[in-house]
Amino acid sequence: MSDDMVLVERRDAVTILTINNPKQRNALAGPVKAALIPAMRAALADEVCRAIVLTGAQGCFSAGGDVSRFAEMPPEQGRQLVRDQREFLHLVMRGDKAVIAAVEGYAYGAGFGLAMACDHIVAARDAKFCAAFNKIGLMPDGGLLWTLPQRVGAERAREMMMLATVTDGAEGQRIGLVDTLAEPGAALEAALAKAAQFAAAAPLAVAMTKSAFARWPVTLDQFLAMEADGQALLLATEDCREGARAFLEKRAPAFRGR
Amino acid sequence: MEPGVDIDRDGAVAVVTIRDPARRNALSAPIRAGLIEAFTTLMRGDDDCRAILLTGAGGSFCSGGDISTMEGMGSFSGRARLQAGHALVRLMVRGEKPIVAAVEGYAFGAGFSLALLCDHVVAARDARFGAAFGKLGLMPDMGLLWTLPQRVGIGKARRLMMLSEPLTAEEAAGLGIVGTLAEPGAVAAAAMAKARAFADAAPLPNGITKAALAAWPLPLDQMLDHEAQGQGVLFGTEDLQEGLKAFYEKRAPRFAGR
Repeated sequence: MSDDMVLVERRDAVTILTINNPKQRNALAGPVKAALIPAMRAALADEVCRAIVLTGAQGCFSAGGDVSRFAEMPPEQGRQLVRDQREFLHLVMRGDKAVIAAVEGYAYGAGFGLAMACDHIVAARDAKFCAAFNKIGLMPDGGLLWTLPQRVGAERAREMMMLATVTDGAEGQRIGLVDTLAEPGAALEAALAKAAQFAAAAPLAVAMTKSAFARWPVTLDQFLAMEADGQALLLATEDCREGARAFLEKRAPAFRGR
Repeated sequence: MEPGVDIDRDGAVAVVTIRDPARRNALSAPIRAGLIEAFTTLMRGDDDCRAILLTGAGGSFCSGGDISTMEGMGSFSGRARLQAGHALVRLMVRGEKPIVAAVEGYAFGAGFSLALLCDHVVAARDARFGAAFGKLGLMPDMGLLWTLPQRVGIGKARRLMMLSEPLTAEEAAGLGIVGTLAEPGAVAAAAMAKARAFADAAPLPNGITKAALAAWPLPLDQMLDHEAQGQGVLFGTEDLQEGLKAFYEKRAPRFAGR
């Protein structure tokens, strides 16, 4: 096992980023966060990579923040700790490639936030999600105030955030928290299958659609402007012509991202 | 006994009861004024109150607006009536203490809106919900255009509001409107158990979470700012130190709200 805090592996057009801090159940300690940012940047810049899978080593997604540092932390540092999440959240949510979370074990606190920032969430039936923050007197962060109500609706989001209730993978799928359910131990495999689907989709169209979701909420007229600008750009791409040809020839399109 | 609004205390839970059973607790002007007074006192002036339970007397939650006073109402008196109701909406949504609704019988029209202004809805299996406004030639009010789509999504919200479709409690639970179902006759106990859970949860993070969600929807970065600012403040609280101590000692925390 490598000492690297984040392991990077590419399989065909899919890059797997594995949080590798198993002694702390993949808690998002400083060195983990420091390694995630360049790894995600590199995957986004890699022309062969079309989709990214985010997961945790040894059967656990991420137990959340590094609680061991919290007792001594003055408020201004606590604020900065949360502000420092933004760079990675932006890469996940505003980057141009689909990010798929593969969740086994725990996705707690900021680890839950990280999973919810992804475009598609694959979870083992017995995986556990919890906005555990207020058990120690903190509020949700990691973008959960933005992502969770969008996914599960206001009622369930309030209960999960205000009572720190635990949701397993199976229940998560029922309420829209989880998109693809896997048997225990098989989340990564299922995530790779799903990532291959995202990787085969037209990459520029995926990027434009993702960019529109990242700007939510906007008014109708703002969405219509995004559609007009984005579609105008896409209509002029080789991929759009390839898509039309493949449609007429009744074959799968081969998109090249230009 | 004159119709009115009662406040009873059960530990850290304040029970607010709409009492006009002869009219199924319709939201008349005196009832509305009583609710505004009750929520003002409990949200702003009562440090011992950690959670609020809202219910109706005589087996029904609230049957809606006061139809008897609608006859011959002019546009501007109607507007003034709405504005008076909005003071109650703001107190419930922006107030920083969790509110649990205990619904038996009917939650129709403005009564449906009132239930959805609460953070969590507990309902009897045989309770009935409905945005009945359209049947009187009116549009949804008391914040329903804001609260309902957040819970159920826009397709279902349009159906429920534009067709005035009534719902059973079980259907409402499936849609994410009702959080907890209880057997008929067991609603008060189930709602009190839920209210106690909210009362035991860390009050400061939940207050900030409620305040952030009251601004819903916001762009991602504005929500991330809420998280960083709020979390920074929470890092300076005694409750965080207590939460961390309890976490390491593997016991339940006792939050003082400081």
